[in-house]
Amino acid sequence: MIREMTLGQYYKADSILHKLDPRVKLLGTLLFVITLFFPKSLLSLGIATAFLILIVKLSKVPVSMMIRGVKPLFIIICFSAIINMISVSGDMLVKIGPITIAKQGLWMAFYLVVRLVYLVIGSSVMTFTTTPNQLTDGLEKGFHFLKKVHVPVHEIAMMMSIALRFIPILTEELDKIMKAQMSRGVDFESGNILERGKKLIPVLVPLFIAAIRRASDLAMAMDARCYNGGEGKTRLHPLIYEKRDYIAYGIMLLYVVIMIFCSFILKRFF
Amino acid sequence: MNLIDVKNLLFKYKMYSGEKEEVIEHTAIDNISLSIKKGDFVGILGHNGSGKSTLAKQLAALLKPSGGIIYVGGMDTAKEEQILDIRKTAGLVFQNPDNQLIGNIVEEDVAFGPENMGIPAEEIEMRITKALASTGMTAYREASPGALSGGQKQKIAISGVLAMEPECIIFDEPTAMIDPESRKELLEAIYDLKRLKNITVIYITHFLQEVSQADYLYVMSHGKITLKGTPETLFKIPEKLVENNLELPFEVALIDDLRKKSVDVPEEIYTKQQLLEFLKYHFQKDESDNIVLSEYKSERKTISESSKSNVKSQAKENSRYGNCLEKQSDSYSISVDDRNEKLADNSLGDLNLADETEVSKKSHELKETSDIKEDASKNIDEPKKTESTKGITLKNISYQYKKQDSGEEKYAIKDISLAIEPGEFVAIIGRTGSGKSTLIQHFNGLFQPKSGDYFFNGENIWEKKYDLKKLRQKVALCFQYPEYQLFEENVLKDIAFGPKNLGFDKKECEEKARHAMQLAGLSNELEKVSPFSLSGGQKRRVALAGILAMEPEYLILDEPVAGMDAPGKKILFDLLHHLNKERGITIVLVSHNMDDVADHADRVLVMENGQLKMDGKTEEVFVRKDELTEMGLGVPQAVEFYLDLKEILEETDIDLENAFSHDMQYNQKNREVSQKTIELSQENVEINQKETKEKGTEMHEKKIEASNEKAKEYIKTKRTKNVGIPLNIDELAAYIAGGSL
Repeated sequence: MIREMTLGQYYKADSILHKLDPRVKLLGTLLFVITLFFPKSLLSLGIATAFLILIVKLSKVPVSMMIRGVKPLFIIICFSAIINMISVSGDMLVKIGPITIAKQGLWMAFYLVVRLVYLVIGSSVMTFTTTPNQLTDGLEKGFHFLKKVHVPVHEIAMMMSIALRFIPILTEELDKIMKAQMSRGVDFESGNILERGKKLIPVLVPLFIAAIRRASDLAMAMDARCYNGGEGKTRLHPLIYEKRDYIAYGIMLLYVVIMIFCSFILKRFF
Repeated sequence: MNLIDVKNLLFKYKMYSGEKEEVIEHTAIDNISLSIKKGDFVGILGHNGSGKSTLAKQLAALLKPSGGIIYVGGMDTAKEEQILDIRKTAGLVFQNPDNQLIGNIVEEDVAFGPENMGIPAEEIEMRITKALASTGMTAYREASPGALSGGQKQKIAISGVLAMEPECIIFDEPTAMIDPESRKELLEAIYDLKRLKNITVIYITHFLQEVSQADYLYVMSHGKITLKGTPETLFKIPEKLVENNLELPFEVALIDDLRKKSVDVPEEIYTKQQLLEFLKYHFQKDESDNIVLSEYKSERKTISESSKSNVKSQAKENSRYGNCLEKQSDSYSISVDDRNEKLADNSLGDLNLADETEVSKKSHELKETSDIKEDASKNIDEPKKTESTKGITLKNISYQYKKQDSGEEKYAIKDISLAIEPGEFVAIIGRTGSGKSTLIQHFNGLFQPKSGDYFFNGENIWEKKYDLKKLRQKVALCFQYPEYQLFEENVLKDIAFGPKNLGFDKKECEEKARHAMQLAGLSNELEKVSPFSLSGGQKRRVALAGILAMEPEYLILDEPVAGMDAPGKKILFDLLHHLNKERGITIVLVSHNMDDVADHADRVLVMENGQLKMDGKTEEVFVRKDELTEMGLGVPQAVEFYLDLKEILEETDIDLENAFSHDMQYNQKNREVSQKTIELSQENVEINQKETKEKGTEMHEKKIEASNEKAKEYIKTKRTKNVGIPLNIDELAAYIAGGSL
């Protein structure tokens, strides 16, 4: 499952979005997600759709890749859609036994699905066009102001970056440990939940030990390379805003204003 | 000027012992003093747990001494305010390539050090370019470390240290976790640092071979420095090195063995090149003597040689005859006459008796070998058609998967057919990614083939009714670094885990576990100890015992000795041999180390790009050096040396050339020569026999027959192994000793 997830994967391409400052993309994604949850109206949904299509086109990432990112979440989306459908009361459309489906429920489910899908695609545009390190750099610098209230911004960013680097390594390790224990007669596919849970001990213990071993090795390696926290650290690619970043901020501002206008102000007149 | 000075260094650390429930103080470094000159390449050697890695960390100011002083570039490592400056002066490259790369992209990783040092962006950029260029990794600047091989990752790690522009780089077993094919390249890159950039290199390892070109060596054992000197001086005292649990470099071991076999190798010789030169001269001198006479003598000598070398060196002697005979038919008749004269002279002396039996022995052997050769050429590349009901039988097995990025189909293994019978000792070789590990995971049903059938003891394991647990009990698989799978609170419980899964009750499980512990050479005091408090070698044996406790009939091991030092390796291989010979357990070994393969396996499977390229007896496979080299694989060092020696002798046009070629080339010409030799030798026997008959001694005749029988028997038993080339140092030394005077 982890292997199929495209979320958090970088797609190499030469596009304007790839070149943008990660802080712009971070803030942009955040704003886009917020606007998605503005009051429901077909008009604002249409604008969001248009905006998303434009962004995806600009990113030069194949649409199939985007859709693959949604796939693992398919079950969650369907599940919440169904819950929404049957739990909202209103003008009854269908009645099957104790379950009733209302018109409002259908609309709710529709909005929910669209919002969730857009949310995943919108944030994966960011991860597809930004390397994990740019992203953590962006987070670190973008949220630097939080340092004043003693949030360890640099450390959090570093942890994220290391986590991203070690996820594939530990996934491989997990695979290997499972196979090794299967070779010693463990059958992961049978038994009830309790039994299955018990069978995870011989997998999780070595996995945690491996993770700790790697962490301690890595800490040594970082020390050896003069790591001393964020103080006095320079950057290979320092984050400096350029003209295109300001333009992007401008476009985003425009989008948000339009969305606010359509969702809140225009709505009053209808 | 000394870059590093260590004075009376002491390092102790405290460890909680689960066994005695108390904190125990260990001394990792015990009063060490050393100094390292600027620009030198210094090797620090030692067995596992000798304290050498701890010393490395001390030198890079990652650990603080408990006593004594370390100066790096004049700075004291105990002083907190100088630590960063020391780390800038002395960089450290670690053993595990995965655990030292921080960046998600090569460029970012190399930049990590300079970034921490507060260097401006433009200069970091320049340093990255330079560092990557000097390790030859420029093309991978944008790559993700996950996509690189182990060797490449290590080069990135080196680049990362280089970008900090240190005066000295410490390498802590940098080749231990990478495959031998890229090992050589990495070593060259490291030697280049010293040669081209004048960087001081401190190289820590347990492989003597890797530091044979160092300027100075220190040998550590149990926290102390036990030996020091230039490689030249140390290689002259091999027994001292062995005492310190080190594995001798090939040429040093060979020279040592040659001397033991009374070949007078002068004292000043210690490199391979020197040895080859010496042997060239040695054989030239030999050549100038009367060939026939010299051979006559050497033949006498070899009779008294060890039984192993016997057959082989005689085979060679014999082909020498053949060669002389063919080339100089005149001189042959003379020499035969000479010989017969001698025989006649010697009336009933032992000499001619020995001679006759030898000749007849040889003729038999040669017949045998040529038979084997024909068999071999038929067998190789053509899988066995017969289906044996016992053992592992694979029929046209393929396994393909879809590549993640492109979705294109790729074969991990393709159309593999093979049979492994009970009691065999098989090795699988092949480059990283050639499909070895996919193949062995088919053996115990971890992978289900996409096409083809797998029969175990005649049963198709992918039939619905088949119980895979039963298969996994019989065919046990031991992964690389099996100690990483330990998890229980004590050794006994961990070992009993396998039997427990197979449904045995507690008592039976413990019984099996105890038995397995004994088998693996673990004392029963360890039963209640946590597996995590053991040494690396012990951990591995616990893991192996955990597999043996399931009482398998087939044991498949992926690189079982990876990362182990000489004594640990020996213990493990002895165990495998014991299991194979005494318990009849079939061993299948995946290995990158050709010397180990040649030393232990009877049969070798060669994989390339998912396909089985060769399948044959060990010597039959390693004879095909050119094909193996093309696949990016090596041959055992003994074979390599043998071939080099042969080449040198050919260059100098020594008539002995064929002495070494006869077993090597399976071509027609050689077969003809051998054939002739047999005929001629037989003639010789006949002549001799006539003579003896003429002398009218029946008793003599009987004796000959008896020894002929003996010889036949002897050859039969020998036939199963080692008919051709020398596969290890012992055989090679016997070979060379046998051919010299």
